[in-house]
Amino acid sequence: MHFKPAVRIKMAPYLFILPFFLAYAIFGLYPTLYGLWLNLHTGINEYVFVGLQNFSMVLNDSLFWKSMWNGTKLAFGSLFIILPLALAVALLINQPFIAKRKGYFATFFFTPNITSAVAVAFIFGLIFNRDFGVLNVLLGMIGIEPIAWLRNPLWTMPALIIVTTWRYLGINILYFLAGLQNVPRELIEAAKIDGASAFQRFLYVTLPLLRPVMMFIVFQAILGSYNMFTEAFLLGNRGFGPQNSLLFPTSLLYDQAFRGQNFGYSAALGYVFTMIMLIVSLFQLRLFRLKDIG
Amino acid sequence: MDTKSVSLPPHAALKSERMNTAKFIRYTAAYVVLIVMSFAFLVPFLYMVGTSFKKYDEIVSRPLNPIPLEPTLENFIRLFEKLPFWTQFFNSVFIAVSITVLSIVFNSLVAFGFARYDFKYKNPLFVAMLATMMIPGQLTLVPTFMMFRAWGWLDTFYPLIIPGAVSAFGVFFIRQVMVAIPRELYDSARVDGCSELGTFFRIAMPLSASAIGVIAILTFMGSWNDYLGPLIFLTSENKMTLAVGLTTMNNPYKIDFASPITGSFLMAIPVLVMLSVVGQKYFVEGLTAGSIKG
Repeated sequence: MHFKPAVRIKMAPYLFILPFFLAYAIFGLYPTLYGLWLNLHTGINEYVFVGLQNFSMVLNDSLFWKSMWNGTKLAFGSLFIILPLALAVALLINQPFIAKRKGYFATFFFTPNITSAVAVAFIFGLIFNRDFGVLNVLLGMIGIEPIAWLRNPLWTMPALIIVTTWRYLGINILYFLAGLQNVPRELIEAAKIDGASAFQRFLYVTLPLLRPVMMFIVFQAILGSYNMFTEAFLLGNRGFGPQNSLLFPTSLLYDQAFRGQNFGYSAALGYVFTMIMLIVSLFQLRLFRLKDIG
Repeated sequence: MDTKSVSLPPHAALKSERMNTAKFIRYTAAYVVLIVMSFAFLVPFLYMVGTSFKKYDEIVSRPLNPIPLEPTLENFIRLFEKLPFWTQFFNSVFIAVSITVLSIVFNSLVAFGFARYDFKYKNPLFVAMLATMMIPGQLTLVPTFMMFRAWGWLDTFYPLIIPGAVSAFGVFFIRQVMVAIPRELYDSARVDGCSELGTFFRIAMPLSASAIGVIAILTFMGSWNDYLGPLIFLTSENKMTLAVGLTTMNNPYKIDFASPITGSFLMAIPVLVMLSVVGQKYFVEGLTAGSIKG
């Protein structure tokens, strides 16, 4: 085929971006539509049309709501433990006198994030061991009775939050550090000259300028919490944990599809979960206002 | 708190001395906090390495001391007996390297299309691409599985390589850097007889190497540490990746703490080596610089 150069230039951009849209059509769009069809059917090899029955099964499934509730608990843990801690460390590292060693500390905190969740689950499985785990031995020194971290449903969520704090603090520190680079030092100095205390400078200068990054971080933390799977699944001994206390939506989806062969139910669960996540996202976008991202 | 003292009156000199002491205390406190925290973050890694060389008795009897007093290689021997370790290791390597190479090429190509050209529907297409990031993987998990089953892709590496070769996030991240390359550079190369594809390889890719590098590392680590993908798509022991393989070796009757942790330790080495080879500073800075820019 021979095109005039001008035509070739016109086509070039579409050829360059084609791979993404082709891949998305095959691995994203098609399965989405196929999933919609699956939702309306039940069966393993022969499919029977059941209408919206799968949806109503998901919506009436107490296990599903339990998994969403666990996601909510983890989200609260992330928002009120991991993020404030990450912000504090980022502010500390961002001090001018530490700035030179910023990369060093940031890497330190970031390393758990790139460690495999499988490894993390094994290491913490040992650390949380009731009888000879490091945590209980340490707590024993200050007179606290051994806690069955992974067997007692009251303690599994705190254990999971400890693990996620260790694993995800670093990446959040990096995000906050990136945001802090947008806070001009002159502004802080000016506020200082005007007599603003450290807390006032943080509240009225730093925090408003961090808003765009904050929105991104909060967004990531909430969605990430509902998307929790590997750590919880493995700490729960490849399952849901005691009294389903480590059950998350993805674990339920996995269990129903690949252990129970309920593909229709699982596809419906995927749809319901996606809808809820989209609503959460839109709500957040409104809350922080979209223009702040750009 | 600048204390550049230029012939200060006596009372000011006194004040600045007091401030120096205050500053010293503040600096020291900040460093102590950071170093203690870094150490706390390091502890699980210490236990991972230490436990790999500990005998069972020592794990139970001296839980607090991460350093094995009677180092042994029996955990490694047991690991290699229970698991086709090196086969699974190379499966993981093969999958991670393949997807990384493909992701470098395809993400950059699409990013180039969006960064270099103006074309009809460019903005809607770009927004559509970003919008796909909002859709969680749970939506397509089950339908994708059934699609791959129909294609005969189960228990092959394709499902773990091909769909991840191009991602909206990868394209977005690289585009953010490519878009800053001045148009004149391309134009002059074209005048000198370079083809459009030539400008991609000779100008766009080298000048956005940092962003491409970050995406390459993230893709590699994402694949290396992936648990859910191989769990669903692979079945036979000799095709399994290490992340899943390690979780299949425990039988419920005799819990073996050490050998999965030994495997985790071996599995973490490539990632840690890569992080130090690529340069922690470069990686951490590249990540923060690219992630936030609008």
